[in-house]
Amino acid sequence: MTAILAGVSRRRLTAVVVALVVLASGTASVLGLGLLAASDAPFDHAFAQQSGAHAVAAFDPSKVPATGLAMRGASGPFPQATVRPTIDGFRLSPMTVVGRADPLGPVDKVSVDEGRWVRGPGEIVLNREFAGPRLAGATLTVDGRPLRVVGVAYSVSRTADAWVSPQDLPHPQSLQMLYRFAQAATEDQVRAGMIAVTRGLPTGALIGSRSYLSVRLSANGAIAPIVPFLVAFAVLGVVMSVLIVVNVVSGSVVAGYFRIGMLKSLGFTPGQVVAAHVVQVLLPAALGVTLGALLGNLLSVPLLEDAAQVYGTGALTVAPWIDVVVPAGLLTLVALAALVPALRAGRLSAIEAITTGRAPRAEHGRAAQRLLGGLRLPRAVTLGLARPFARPARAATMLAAVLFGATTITFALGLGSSLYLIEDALLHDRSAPLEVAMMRGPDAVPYDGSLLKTIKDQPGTAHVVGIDRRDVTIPGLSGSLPMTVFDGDVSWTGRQLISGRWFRTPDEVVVPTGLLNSMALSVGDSTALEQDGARRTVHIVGEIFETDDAGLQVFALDPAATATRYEVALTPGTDLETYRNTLQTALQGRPIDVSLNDENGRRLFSILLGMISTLTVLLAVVAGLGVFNAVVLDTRERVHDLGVLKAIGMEPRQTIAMVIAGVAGLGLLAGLVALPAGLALHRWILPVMAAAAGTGLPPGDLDVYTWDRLTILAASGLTIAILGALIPATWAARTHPAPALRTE
Amino acid sequence: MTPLIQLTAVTKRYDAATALRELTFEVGAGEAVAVMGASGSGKSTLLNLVAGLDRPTSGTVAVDGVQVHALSEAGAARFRRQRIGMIFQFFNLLDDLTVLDNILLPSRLGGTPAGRAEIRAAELMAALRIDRHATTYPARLSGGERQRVAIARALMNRPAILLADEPTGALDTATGEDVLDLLLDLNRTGQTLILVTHDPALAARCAQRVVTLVDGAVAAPAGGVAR
Repeated sequence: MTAILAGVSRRRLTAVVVALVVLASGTASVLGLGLLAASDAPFDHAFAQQSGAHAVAAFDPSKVPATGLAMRGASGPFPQATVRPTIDGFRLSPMTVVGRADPLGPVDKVSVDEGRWVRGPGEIVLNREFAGPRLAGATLTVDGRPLRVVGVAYSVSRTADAWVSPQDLPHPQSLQMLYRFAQAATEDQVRAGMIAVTRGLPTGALIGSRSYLSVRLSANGAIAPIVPFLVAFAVLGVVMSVLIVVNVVSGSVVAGYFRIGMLKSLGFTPGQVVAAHVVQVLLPAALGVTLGALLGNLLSVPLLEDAAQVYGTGALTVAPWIDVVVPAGLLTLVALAALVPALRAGRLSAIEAITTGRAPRAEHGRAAQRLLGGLRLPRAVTLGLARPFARPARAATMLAAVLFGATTITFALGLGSSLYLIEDALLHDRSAPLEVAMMRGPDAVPYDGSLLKTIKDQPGTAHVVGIDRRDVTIPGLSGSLPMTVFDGDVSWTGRQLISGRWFRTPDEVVVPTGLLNSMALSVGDSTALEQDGARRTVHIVGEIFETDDAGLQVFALDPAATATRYEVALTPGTDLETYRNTLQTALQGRPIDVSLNDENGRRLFSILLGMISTLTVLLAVVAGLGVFNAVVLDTRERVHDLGVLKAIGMEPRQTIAMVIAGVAGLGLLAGLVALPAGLALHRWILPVMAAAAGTGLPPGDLDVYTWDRLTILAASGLTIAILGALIPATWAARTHPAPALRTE
Repeated sequence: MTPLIQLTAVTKRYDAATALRELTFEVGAGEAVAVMGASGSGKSTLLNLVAGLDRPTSGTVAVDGVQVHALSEAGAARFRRQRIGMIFQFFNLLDDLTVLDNILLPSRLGGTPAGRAEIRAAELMAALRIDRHATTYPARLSGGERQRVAIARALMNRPAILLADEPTGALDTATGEDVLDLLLDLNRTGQTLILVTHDPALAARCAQRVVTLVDGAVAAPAGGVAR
């Protein structure tokens, strides 16, 4: 044991490197696997946690009294109303408000994320999905009554947009009941459950009900596209971790051969030598893996919080099995990686171990030295460039580490850029940042063209297109589907086509992938559309990139359409907020909303970008540590040569250049190989993500690797290598030549 | 005459141990001086200080007009490259470089054009009778041949001073004599030489002056300056 502890203490740097590498690998693995595991049926987990409602039903209070609805095992009845609150004079979207004194209950245990639950009249708790930054702590006005936002809560069953005290809804439009059934795996079972609980109620008492399965479908639809990239990162992370840990640990044991030889010459048995070296790396590895698991859990908190929002579920945490499997797996890996070279060392004679541990065999790399020595480059650089050939196995693992790191960076940059374009296409808030919507209902604005004129006359208007939404049916497809009708050119709005072209006449339509797949149609086909009992044939001229309503939509042109909203693009340099306020003032007194395209829509992109960035940085750090370790081992082995070189006049900057050059060639090579590898991964993963979301992808969204980006990415391997080698290179430059010359 | 090497009141301590104590020591241009002493007497420390490989704890080291003790790391490296040639007991050749590449190394590190450096290396290899080994690796050479390569490397940049630390210590007697003759020949051509050895016969044969160190101080001759 004394020899073991002495070994750890004597080789402090090696111990630190092992601990750091295992720490980074542990962090990356916990994070990657944690995110991956959280994406496995998060809705079901959250639903079970909250005792989610299998059915949410609304009853007519004039047909059935509240007392007639209450039953054991259900929550409710709660008063419910749909309201249109205003904040600072701006009208918000309609929201379903439920009067609920207690967030808990047998069904739908609502979790309060921020603030607190309502304690009495005049307070409101917003559903997390409804709460934006502007609303936190704000006061909303509903039907002239102020309601202070006191909390943000979350119901996985999505039973309300907001909750108030029941006293704030004395005259509810409906009564909400939340049910759980013994059997609720299918729509039929949920329907049967609803029939059972409404048996005996007056006809017409049930206004409507919603099954949790539709919410589940929508939540899972949001998760599906994310899983492929998480799998890619998790696989990259685990492979890199294994590679680097094996490289570092086995390298550290090989570097200890000299000491092994010394111990053997002092009478250590092969078994003692093996045990000493395995334990010597296990001690720092255990420290590293503990800290790594801790850091992984800490880093995963904000990411999982974000993931929970994307997934539409309650709080997510790292699965406990990950905190067991990752440390245990890494420690096993460390033990195995140490065991193989330690066993080999155990079998060597003392002299052989000492000789092997002194330096690499000089024959390795001689040809490279001669070849590179003839280049018209500074001698320090050519000396460095030839270094990898002296330790080909170490160089190969370093190359692999940098290759994986650079591939991750290449893939991550492409993924981020593609997601950016995809978000642009789906939200089109950048191309058409403003939306002018007319209210429906009794106070609706008559369509007389005056609104369009007001918008067009407003300074700063670049484009306007009027939009109407109609319900149509397609023979052979059950139910109706929305048809978005434009009154003019739509190409500037940012919507993207996957294939084909935009419509030019009213009998041409573009449709999403979802509809094409559902109807087994292709671009170029014709199909019948029915609207208000009238049937007409339309030609599908394009496939639009659109995922709302599972892609079951139609987009068409009708220059005579009665627009219910307008999308507006501004001329370059126009201030959006000023434009909006001016237009709002011009339209004051009319029930018209002038709103910015929802910035919250970009949240998904920010969350994904956050996940991608964190995982990429971690994996790049792991790759950099691999380089760091290799360079540390190399400079330690060559410390005597370093002393010689310094004695004959090698300057510190030349030493740094030599050490950096030793990894630069590998880094450059890895970066160049990583380009096609990253591109291929991007080309493979993106369509898989899109397919999981039930859509194709516009080709332009994959063509994100411009020449300037490729040039920068080609240097990513070089950058990882240089950053990884910089610190040991500085140490090498500071090595005192006199003690170095005395080193055996 | 201004001495080429001048150490004034130099003390060098390593943690608790003192390697040199208030040492004052001078060497004139073209002189051959042998530094003798038992193991741990401070001989190698003295060479390291002259070469700028180490810094004194106190005192000054001036070589060829350069205040070596005040040089930066880079400055000390340049100083060694331009003015010092070093020969070691165990040769200290780089095993993965050929003989020619080993010899060329100091000039290549200094940025001397390849053509000019190769002409100089060829001259030295011919003079030291190792020209047929130009493309051989050091491991294939005998000890004497390796030391000749080391001498050629040390002379590559025409240094003002040649420092030899036990240059014959790892050689058999005949080969050691041969190497010694080479060093004497160099001294006869005006090359300043400091030779560290623990062999009195060797010191007497090749040096015009012998300085003996005992516990980091000059034992003889008596007086303030060891000349």
